[in-house]
Amino acid sequence: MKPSIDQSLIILAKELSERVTPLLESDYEVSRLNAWSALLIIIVSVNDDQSNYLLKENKEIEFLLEKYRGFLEERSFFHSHNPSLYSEDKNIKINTLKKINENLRSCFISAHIIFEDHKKSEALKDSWKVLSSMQMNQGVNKLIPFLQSNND
Amino acid sequence: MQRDQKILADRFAGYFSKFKAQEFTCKNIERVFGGASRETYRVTLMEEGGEEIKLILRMIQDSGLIDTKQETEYEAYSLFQDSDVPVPKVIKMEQSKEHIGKPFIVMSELNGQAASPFDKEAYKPFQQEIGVQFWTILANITNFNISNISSDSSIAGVKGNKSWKKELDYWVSVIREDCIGAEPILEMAIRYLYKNYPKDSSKISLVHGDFRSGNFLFREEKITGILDWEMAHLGDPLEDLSWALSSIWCWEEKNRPAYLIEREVGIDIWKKNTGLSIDEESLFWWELFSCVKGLAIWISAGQEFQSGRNTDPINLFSAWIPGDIHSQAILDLLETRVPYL
Repeated sequence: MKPSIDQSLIILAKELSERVTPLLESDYEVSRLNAWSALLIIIVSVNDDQSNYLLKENKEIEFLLEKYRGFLEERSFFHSHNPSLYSEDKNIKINTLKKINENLRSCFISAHIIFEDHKKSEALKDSWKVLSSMQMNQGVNKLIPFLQSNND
Repeated sequence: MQRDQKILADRFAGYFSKFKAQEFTCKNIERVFGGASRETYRVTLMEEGGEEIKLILRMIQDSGLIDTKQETEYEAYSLFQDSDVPVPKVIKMEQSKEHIGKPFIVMSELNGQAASPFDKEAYKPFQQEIGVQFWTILANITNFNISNISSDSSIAGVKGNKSWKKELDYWVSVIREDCIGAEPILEMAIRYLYKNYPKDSSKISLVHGDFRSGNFLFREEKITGILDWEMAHLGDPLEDLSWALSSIWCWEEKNRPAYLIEREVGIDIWKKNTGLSIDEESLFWWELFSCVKGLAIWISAGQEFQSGRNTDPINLFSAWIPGDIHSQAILDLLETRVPYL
């Protein structure tokens, strides 16, 4: 088995901050390179989970749109939105998942507006759950330690 | 000194010598890390007779994070010279590129350091002393007499008391222009703000536009300078108050804005010093607006980075982490208001 990409990136981050940074004279360049090292570590920490989170979010939005299909159909939603666009791409590349996610998020925003306009409280509750899950998946809390190591 | 900085140093010393009609040489120049709207340098010049002067040079970036005018910043600093709002002494603004390649402003360098707004220990052990000054200075900005600001000033702009709409329209336009992807949480907040707008402003005041931890200098227990005025404008004072209160600047201790003193204590200091009362619903609106404004800034940073116009890592960092925090802050705020939960 080869060394993983994640492990290699972490070593690169350490090499940058421990071996390259001391060679720099300018405080500005030192800070800039240190920021890059910290960002590399962030990339590693979120990258492994990304496809999982995208798959999960996509499923949640699809489920919501399906659950309220009848209601949305009555409001001609599907004339202008196609939630299954790109879903024929069966590969699990992150870029493919992102493309599907981007379309689904746009559909979700439009459906959410319809739910709000019609005060459809059950659908709004379900939409809130999707939004909360979406946010939880972004992993803001696990990234907090990185705030300490970055200047404004 | 790097080659390009040496060239800049020589050109700037030449410019300054002409401006002062006296010979100066550059002893040192160093770029300050952080902040994406300007290139900022600390410059030490030597007078012919041997005296040292320490200056701050703020140059327009080829690709600034958000569209801000340097005359706004310069004018705001000028308004507060020798006042109860500490600011650096302004020396000169040049709009032309001919002198050092870009427009710039020059100010004296103040003593003190700026902290990261994300460092909860930054002001220890002087959180109390600095906290009292932080909210008092904000009140002093709110109290500033704006009657002398002419209508053609770059700070002026809002007429009447519907500053909320002007500000919201502006930041939404930034989002529409720069957004890389669909943002359902942000869109929900924008819809909420347009549907549930605040009361008209009880007062139009000078608004700093980015008054928060990290944007002031301090030395031990004293705030020595308020910086980064490039977003200054006339508007609702609750805009500054809510931005300073925003949970992003105290994410790990949400009841201690800017990691200084408790929220209610800070608000009381501001109220006592301005004599203004606060409509809680309006403050809520402005706090939610702060999240939208913040996201506009972080989205703009991400766009700058992705386009390759400005690959400063601060832009990538801003798009990732503060962007996520403000999205969470939107959910935290709206959770208390949406009727269906």
